[in-house]
Amino acid sequence: MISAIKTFFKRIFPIVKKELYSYFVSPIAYIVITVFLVISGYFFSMILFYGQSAELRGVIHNMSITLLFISPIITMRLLAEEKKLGTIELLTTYPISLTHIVLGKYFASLILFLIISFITLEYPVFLLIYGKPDIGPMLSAYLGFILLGGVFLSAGLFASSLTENQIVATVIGFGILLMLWIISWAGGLVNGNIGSILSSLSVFEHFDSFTRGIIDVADCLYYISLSFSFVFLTIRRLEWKRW
Amino acid sequence: MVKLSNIKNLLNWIRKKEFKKGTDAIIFIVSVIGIVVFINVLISRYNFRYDTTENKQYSLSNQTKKVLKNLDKKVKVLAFLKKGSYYEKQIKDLLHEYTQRTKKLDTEYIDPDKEPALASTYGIKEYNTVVFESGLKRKSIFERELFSFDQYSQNPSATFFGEEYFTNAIITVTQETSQKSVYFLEGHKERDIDNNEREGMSEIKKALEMDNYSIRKINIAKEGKIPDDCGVLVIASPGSVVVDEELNILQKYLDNGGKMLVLLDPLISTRLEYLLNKWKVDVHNDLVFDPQACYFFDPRAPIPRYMGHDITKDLEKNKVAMVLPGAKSLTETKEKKEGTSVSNLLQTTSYGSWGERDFKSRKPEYNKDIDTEPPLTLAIAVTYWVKQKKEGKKEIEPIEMRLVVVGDSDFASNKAVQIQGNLDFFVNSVNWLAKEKDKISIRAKSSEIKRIDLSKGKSKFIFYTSVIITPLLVLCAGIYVWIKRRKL
Repeated sequence: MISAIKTFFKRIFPIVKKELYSYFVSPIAYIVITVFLVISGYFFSMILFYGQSAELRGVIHNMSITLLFISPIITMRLLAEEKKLGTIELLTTYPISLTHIVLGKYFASLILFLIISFITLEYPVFLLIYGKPDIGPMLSAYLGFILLGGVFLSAGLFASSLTENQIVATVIGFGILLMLWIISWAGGLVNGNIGSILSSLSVFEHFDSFTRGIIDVADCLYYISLSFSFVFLTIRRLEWKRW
Repeated sequence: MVKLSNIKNLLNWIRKKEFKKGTDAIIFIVSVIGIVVFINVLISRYNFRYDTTENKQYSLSNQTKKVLKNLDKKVKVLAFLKKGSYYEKQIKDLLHEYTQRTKKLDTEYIDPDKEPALASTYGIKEYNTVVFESGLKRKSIFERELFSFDQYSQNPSATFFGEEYFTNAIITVTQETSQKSVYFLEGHKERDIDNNEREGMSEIKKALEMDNYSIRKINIAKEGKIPDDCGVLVIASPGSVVVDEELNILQKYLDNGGKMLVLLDPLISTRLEYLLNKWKVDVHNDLVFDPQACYFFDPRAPIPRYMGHDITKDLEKNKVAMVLPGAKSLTETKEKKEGTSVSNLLQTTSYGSWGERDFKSRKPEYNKDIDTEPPLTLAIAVTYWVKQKKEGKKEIEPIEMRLVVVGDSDFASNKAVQIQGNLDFFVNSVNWLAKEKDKISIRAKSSEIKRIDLSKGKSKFIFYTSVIITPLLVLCAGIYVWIKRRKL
């Protein structure tokens, strides 16, 4: 059992490494990170100055929306390019399966996302230096943010598996994520049973609890399930395409 | 236990070419997604929520959790909230916690500005009113009950009493006990609860109905007795003589543990005073003047002081004032009556007040010999434990008679009931008389607003670092990598 896990990681590792390398070699990653930090930093400062309240709740909401917009850009290259360059044939000759490839790329994008999140830790650090914030909600907000990122990136991954063109992949990625966003809006506007079903499907509805300081097992499971589903669909999609 | 070989067989089958494309694959995808959805639904039933906040402001107390767990009737919650207010968030957050724990709660958030028709159906007059409804029973909770804001302390904090009020409301509207009836006496030119002009009491009727009471009128001269379903009897300023037969009926009612609210007015005597006297309330034939604590400089409209009682404790806590326009004073009689306990509810605030008895003088002023001396009592509450004959060995629950007498009735009229304290006092009195049971006391959650004070220098530092410096560092790293690549 343990050996199976070991081989799994051994096989994924080169993919992750290769993918991360190509991220940091291309200008896209740096531009995306910079833009994200500028926007988030601006929101953080403004919310802090006007609200005068030592909490992350406001800025983390803005960060999640910004994340929604930059995720497709991060993930667009993951699978679309491979098909174009025909390197997918090369990959499949290695003793690794499609599953390993997909997971490797997914994890690479996750690591990039974790690096971005790590840099944004300067915001809670500021709050801790200059005030006495409630630490619990800050931790849970970040937990929610990371899980949310997992969902966005998995959706982008799936989008990039659908086409050979990076631009189209980005657009489809946007489309899927905007759909998720719209469902949460609709859930808020519509009352009654339909409204509550929509709300329970919405990505942002579950996020709210995290920002308030509540760690809910159902919310965590929801995000993990959604990420799993997108990754699973990606693998199935590629298998279908291959054969 | 699933055998390892079975898993391997399954995996091999999945890996087969024929499986990957075609209907098998579709079934596989659908089943996996189905299992994922199923697991989620399962977890939502056995869910676990962990509150990481410092003062556990999102955790519900054990009492609330118990009430919600045992809730078996559908309760509809309509929250008429002002969009964007700080209170809206707190109320929504709390109700969200409630709905997480029971499927029987159906919450609806309504913007009273956008749906004025719905708001008026529920009698909503102010923002941030939450209505709990189950079947025919309804209970409304107001913003001023939910929040008390202490802005003068070092750390400004808002105390939110939401949990106590919400849970109690749920208990109230789902109680098995039949709705209590409040009967208003008629036949002596009393104030009319169906009269919606200035002198009527229709606003009181509305307020009581919002608090889950059914309102009726009774003429005891005709009926000959007090109905059995009478929870509270209200005598709202009788203007003509109450005859002996009626006094006897009322006496019997009180002797058997009745609950009565009597509003009197100055310059009128109706012989009801004899009954009240038997219950230790002495009614003075005067008119209260309080030039130092009065409404709009009219010394005949005193603003009373609260003397510490269940009826007035919330008014005191929230610093809500009352006005009694045109009142007479009362006192506790000196005669002892075993088993009775008398409390002052309202008193004039200053020693500059007096009870004028000389109605002929042109200039009202305090005459020590004639007039009632300060401080003056304006409302009294009396309780009496009814002695009951023991039937054999059966334990009989003791019955308590409760009586509230107020030296003014104008405060409850439509023209004066806009003054918040007046309405609350009346409703609280009825509630106290009706002995609202099962009230749970839940400690309020104080949410300290975490202020952060930033000097201009600190603000600038934060701004420049987060918006300019950090992103710039990343950009430089990118440029460095790019240059290095070009060199290669």
